[in-house]
This record gives sequence, C-alpha cells and structure tokens, in this order.
Amino acid sequence: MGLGQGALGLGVSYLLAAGYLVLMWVIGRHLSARYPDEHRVRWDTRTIARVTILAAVSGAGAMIKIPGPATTIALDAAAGYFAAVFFGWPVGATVAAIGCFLANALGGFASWLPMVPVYVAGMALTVTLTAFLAKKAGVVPAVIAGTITNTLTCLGPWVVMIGLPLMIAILPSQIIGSAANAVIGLAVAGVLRTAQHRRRPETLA
Amino acid sequence: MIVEYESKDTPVHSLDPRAKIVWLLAVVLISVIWSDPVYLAGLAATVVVFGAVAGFPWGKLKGLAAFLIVVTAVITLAQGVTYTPAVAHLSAPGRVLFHLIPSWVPGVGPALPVRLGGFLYGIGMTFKVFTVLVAVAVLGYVASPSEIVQLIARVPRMPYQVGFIVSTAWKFVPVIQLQIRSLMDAHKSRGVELERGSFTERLRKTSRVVSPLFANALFMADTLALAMESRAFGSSRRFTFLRPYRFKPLDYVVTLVCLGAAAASIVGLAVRRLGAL
Repeated sequence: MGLGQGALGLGVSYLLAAGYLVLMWVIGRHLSARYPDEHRVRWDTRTIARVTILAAVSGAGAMIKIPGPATTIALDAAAGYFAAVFFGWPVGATVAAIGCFLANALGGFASWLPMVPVYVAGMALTVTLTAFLAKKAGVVPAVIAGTITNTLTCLGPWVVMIGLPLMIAILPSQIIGSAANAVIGLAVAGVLRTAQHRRRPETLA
Repeated sequence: MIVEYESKDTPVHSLDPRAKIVWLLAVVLISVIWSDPVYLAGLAATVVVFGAVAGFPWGKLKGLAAFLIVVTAVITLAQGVTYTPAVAHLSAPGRVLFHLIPSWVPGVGPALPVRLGGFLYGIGMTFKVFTVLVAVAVLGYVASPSEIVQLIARVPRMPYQVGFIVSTAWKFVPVIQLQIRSLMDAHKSRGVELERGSFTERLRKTSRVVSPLFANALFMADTLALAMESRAFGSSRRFTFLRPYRFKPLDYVVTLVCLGAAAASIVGLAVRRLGAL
C-alpha cells in the first residue's frame, strides 16, 4: 500500500530526488577526480552551446518513435547518455535534466507536473552512473545499470505513492524504453568517437 | 504544449506572466494537499472557469481526455482494490462496493473487491491528474513560450546561463525536429523501412538516423558558440531584459487571491482537516 499522491507521498518522492542528486554528486566527484581530462568541464561558451543544442535534441527526440514490443519508445533520453560519455558527466547530467524538462513541457506535462523534478533528478543520476560504469566496466554493464537506474528512479517514487500493483503493468515498457535510449546514446557516442580518431582519406599516404 | 499559445484580448491573456505562474503553482499545490474528491472537483471547476474566461478551446483536449479517461478508470479501480486510506469522516472506508470479478464467474468469483475508501481516493487522484493537466494546458494557451522561459531566467539566484540554455533550447526544438524529419526521409528514400523488422533491427536502423543527427547537433553547437562569442556572451555578469515586466492592479488581485487560497487550504487542512478524505 502506498503513501498516496498527496503531500506525504510527494514529500517522500522529493526526498528520494534529493538522494538521487547527492548520489550523482558523489559519483561525479569521483569521476572528475579520477578522470579529469574527460570529466572535469569548463563552463565556457562552447560548453553552454553544446548543452543547449543537445538539450534541444533531447526535447525533440520525443518525436523519434521506435515501435517496441510492449509500447512505442521515444528517444528523449539518448542525448543525455551521449553527452555524459562524450563530454563528461556535468554536461551529460545538465543535458539530461534540461532535456527531460523540455520533453515533459512539450508533452504538456502529461505525466503529472509535480513529479517532473523527480524525473529530472533521476535522469541526471542515471546518465552520471552510466558514464561512471562505461568508464569502469564497459558499455554493456553501463547499459544494464543505466536501464535499471532509470527504471528505479522513475517508477520508485510512484511505487512509494500508489503501490506496486499498478507499476508492474508499466514496468516492461519502461525497461525497454530505458534500454533503447541507453543503447542508442552510448552507441552513437562510440561511433562519433571512432570517427573523430579515424584518419581521413586525404591524410593517408 | 498540448494547446498552442494564442495571442488574444482577454483579461487572462493580459495578466503578467508571473501572476499566471502563481495561479498554476497555487492550483498544483492545492491539488497535492487535498484528497477529498468533492474539494478537488471544486478546484477543477475554478480551473475551468479560468480557462473559459481565457476563451480556451476545450475541443483540442478531446484526444488526450479520451486516453486519460481510460488510464484514470484503471487507476481508480486499482486504487479501489488495493488502497484503503485511514479515512476521517467516512463511517466504513473498507466497505465493499463491488467485485472486479463478480460472483457469477464460476470458480474464481467473487474476487478483487473494490472498497469505498480506495475508490473515493482513486476518484480524487483522477481529479488531481486532470486538474493539473488542464491547468498546464490553459497556461500554455495564455502564456507564450518566450514568456515562460523568461520567467525561468528571472528566478532569483538562477544563473543566467540556465535561462539562456532553456530559452534557446526551446527555440531550437522545431529546428531539430525538421532535421529529424529530413534524415528519416533521406533514409526512406534509400529504401530503408524504419518500421519494419525485429525490434533489434529497428533499433539499429534508428541509430543510423540518430548518429548524423548528433553529429549535426555538434556542428550547430560550434556555430552557436561562435555567434554567442561574437556578441560577447558571458563578458558581463550584469544583464537586462528586453521586456521589463510590470504588475497591474489585476495582477496583484490574482496573485493575492491565489496565494491566499493556497495558504487557506494548508491552514484548513492542518487545523480542521478540510479537503482531506
């Protein structure tokens, strides 16, 4: 039995969201200290422009629909995963948070406006943890961890509020959607990184 | 937004954007703290009146409402089966209203009893979700996107970069959507069937659309950075807004009424349990 969709349930959800942010900060600090070249970011004009455009990609990504086995999947989180792996966790977390807000706003906050801060914090934690595991353990564990974290951070507060039975019905589509976004975000980061380092034909010979 | 902004000459449209946001926040706050369906229905009625004064096109909510009615019916019944709040003024919250699997179903019926407390709570939840959704749609209709993002930029202590990112990203969304459409069309013109094949194949095909999209995005970001630097973005911490906002008497009235209603609902709930189921 849940705490309800009232002040108590929402209050506990916001506490969870605060916990997500603390966890993200701890993981991020470790990444920045361990890998300063990749995960320590200077907030100059170029970085702000990148965050802006990738947040727009995230917002617009809601219109890229893949017909999935359980439901149609929207690619609104892929830009956050990509940015976290490609430009470092601070950029990734910011893109994921602002992109999540934009995607929700463009959809008219259909998934209940008071919960948006929780989703935003959850996405920021998810992409940071994914970047951490991509660095430490490789792409496959990162995708698995990203999928599990995204599912737990999005549905966890709802379980607290309205109980488990309803959430079990949403679980398959949530897992597939999270996995698709993580796979595509990390795959594109890998492809673009390879393209960056590959020598161009005109430079050969 | 579900309903696009329209510039109209109504009292609601002419309100200061800050007064509109205060109205939305008050509606959200009150909807969260109340759980009695009767009170929540009253709140929903005030939102409808606000929308009616703004000339809101209710017909545009039809498609979404049809979908949400199904979802909320499921939620209401599921709450009725699984949730019985400790109710203050209901004599028997655990009273069974009906069974989801009736007694005439051989072998299993009657099963899954829907209880009064949970059922009423579910109806309250339905009102919460609908009221906030309609309030957001009304706000989207009466406040332009640029007004909303300017408000984000004006939040005290908010770094101006955040306001810039949100407002610029919002304006770039249609550009990116156009690019996505062009990339999908380019793939389709080469015979790629994006909707065909197994899920893994569809995922692979989609990633071929997404890769150039991200590469283009990075190129656009570099161009945007150049444009920003050429206008000396970030050279000064002090900045001004093109359109200064000024409160009119009606804005004060709306803001005070909204804040008063929010405060009264909190006090009423705390002192006399008004609005609680």
